[in-house]
Amino acid sequence: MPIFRNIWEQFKEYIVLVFLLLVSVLFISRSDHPSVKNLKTTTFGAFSFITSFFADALPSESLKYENEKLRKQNAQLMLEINKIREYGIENGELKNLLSLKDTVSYYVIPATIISKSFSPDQTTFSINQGKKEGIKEGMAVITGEGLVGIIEQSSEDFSLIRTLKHVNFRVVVKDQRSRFQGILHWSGSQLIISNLPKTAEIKLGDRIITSELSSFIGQPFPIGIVKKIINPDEGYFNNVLVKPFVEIEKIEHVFIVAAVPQKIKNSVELNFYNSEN
Amino acid sequence: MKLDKVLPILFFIPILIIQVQILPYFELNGMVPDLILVLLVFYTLKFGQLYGIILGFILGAITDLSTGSILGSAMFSKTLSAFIAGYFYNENLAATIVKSPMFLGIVFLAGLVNVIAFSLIANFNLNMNIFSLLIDQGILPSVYTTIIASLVMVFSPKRSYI
Repeated sequence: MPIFRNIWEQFKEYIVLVFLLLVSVLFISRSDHPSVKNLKTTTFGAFSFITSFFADALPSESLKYENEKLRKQNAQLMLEINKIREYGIENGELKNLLSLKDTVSYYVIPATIISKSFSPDQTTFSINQGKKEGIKEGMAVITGEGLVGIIEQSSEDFSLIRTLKHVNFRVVVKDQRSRFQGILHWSGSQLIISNLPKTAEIKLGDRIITSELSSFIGQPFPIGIVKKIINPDEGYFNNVLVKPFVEIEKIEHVFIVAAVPQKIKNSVELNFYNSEN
Repeated sequence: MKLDKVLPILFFIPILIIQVQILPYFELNGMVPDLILVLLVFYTLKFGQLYGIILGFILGAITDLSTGSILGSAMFSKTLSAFIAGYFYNENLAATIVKSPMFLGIVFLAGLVNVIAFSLIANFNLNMNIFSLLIDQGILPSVYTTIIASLVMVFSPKRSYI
């Protein structure tokens, strides 16, 4: 026993460090477990409740109501314009062979950001709307400029947004002009569409929008423009850097697009994703 | 003495509120200073390495749970950065070190470890650009945190009440 006591006395900092780091890694590996998610939702809901009081006290806005109304209108117009752009391109391709009638209308829920957590890898925001207003996990979050992220978690009164600048945010996107598709993700410092075939016809300044193939965001929301094409000498793939339309750091108000993600498609895609990892 | 050691957890909630509500107004290119790290380094230098490691773990856990980060990522990085800061603990200098420039150096070093550990654990991939990781994600945010820590150094009372 004295031996163990000696070892403990001599190395207790290292022993505790290794133990706590292992516990942290265990939590990271179990971060998607339902019990961990429930714990996070409860804690985040309680914390948001506290922060919401302070959020109301921070910079007061005049003409708040009218602004909110105009922003909502702006977001809806952005969605309509984007859809019209899509139709223009599709119409050219179909050359009047088909006549498609769209019956989808978007319903958006306005929300105010009550807290922001910045880090190079995981930028998340809390908003003052939750399940009571019909917000569900996976719904798209937008502003008048374009996509901000998706709802990661929601409690009764608050929700957490996983923004574009989060390493766990991935979405299928396409070049609006050439229609090439790829998966957009945040590298920690850049928004990147990686592993695009070199034959993909992508040009600087092309608009990047979400693809209908995405299970989470199955509607065409603008994301950004092509800022740089990284074309290595070797290999068969290019990486494309995207400059987002939305200045994530500056936004204060958002809209949640009340469209429910497609569960069956999600399940198929997530299974595919899990089998890759 | 025991109350002293519980105080940082009580201070933590208002500091976390400032971190997520006030500091975003001061963001520069997506970077904000890490006040929680400053608090952690401050108390690690006051009470020692072992205390700092445990405090880092607790503060990291609450941060992860409250802000929606991947659970475990801030726990990992804060624990590790407290361990590094703890190397500079000196019982005889504990009361005065926060008023010395050395405090800023320790905050910078701990900040660097914090950000890099956080990035590696949350976003590790073999194609990572080490240069970008060090400069964009490591050094710049740490410098920003150090600037805020200098205010703590300047305005903290000569006699420690916290």
